Amino acid sequence: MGGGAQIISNITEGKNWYDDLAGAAIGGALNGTILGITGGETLLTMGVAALASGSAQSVINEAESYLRGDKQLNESSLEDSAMDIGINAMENSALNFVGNFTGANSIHTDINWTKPSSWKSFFDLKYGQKVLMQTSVGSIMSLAWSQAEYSHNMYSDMDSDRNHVSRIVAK
Amino acid sequence: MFFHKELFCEKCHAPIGKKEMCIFDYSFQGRNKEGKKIYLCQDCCIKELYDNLRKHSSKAVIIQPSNKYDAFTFYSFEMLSKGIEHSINKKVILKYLKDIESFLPKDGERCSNCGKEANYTWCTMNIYSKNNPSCMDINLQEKENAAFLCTDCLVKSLIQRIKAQKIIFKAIYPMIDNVTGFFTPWLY
Repeated sequence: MGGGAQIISNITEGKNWYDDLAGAAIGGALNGTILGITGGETLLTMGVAALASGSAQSVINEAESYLRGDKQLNESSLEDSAMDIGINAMENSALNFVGNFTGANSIHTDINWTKPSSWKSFFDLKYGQKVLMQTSVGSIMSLAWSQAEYSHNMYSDMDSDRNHVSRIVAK
Repeated sequence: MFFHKELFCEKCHAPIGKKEMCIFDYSFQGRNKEGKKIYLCQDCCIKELYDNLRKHSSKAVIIQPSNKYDAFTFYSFEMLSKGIEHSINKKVILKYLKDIESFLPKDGERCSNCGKEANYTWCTMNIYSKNNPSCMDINLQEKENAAFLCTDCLVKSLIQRIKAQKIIFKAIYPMIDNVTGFFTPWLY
């Protein structure tokens, strides 16, 4: 789900469809795996899943930006990267946490039920439905957030262009 | 040869196909350290289930097994409420357990068939609002259709039900201690 939301976000923002896809897909999978194993019922397990997936996504995205050539490896860029990873990890983790919390509140399971041994049982007994819901809500939140950021930046750029043109006209 | 390892029932030692094998899991997926898994044929698995019911005297709600579910699981109320104090769904789980508990026979309840003391409530999957055992919405109106049974009459009803539905169990998670709870169809 994380990967799907990233592709939609890339297309709507005019980027390559595959940009940051690995980070989003691995982050989403990690979140789902931790929720699946722990049951994702307590604030602690939801927080751990959100933080681990948000951090993994940020680190992978940052590494990808060096591989793509968007950033050059030097002392100053590494300092910037550390800051970017920290900020993005917090942002991604917070959005994942909202998703995990909303999903757990919508579909209920008991952590003491026996664990299913097949994918069919995993989904029929609601464990799978719940993890899917948690991950998809987190992905939709991330998508909405990135669209809001993109729109905000676009309007800021337009405003600054308009001010620039007004200044030239005034002169 | 490697892929066709022959399996045998641990009770009657008859050869069994993998699809007919039932895991009678006294270890409850490793949570009960003293118990172990036994691999049985369908006949021995059903006999083991009756022995398990006869060994325990605690009250239980028995939700009729169904051929749509390949496992039959005993959940004690005590076990299902373990560790839920940290769950964000604590209220929902407590209500679910309280609702099922309200189906238990009251003290002095008599068997609807023979009049002996009844320890079991026999009810259908309609106890679950969506007919799904992992649905925590319990249909309290189903109490009107529930029957109270003694151990012998319960065993008879179980035999009839399993035969009528041609149920093949992949796993049974039995009663382990003398604690109240419920047997429910489940998925392996």
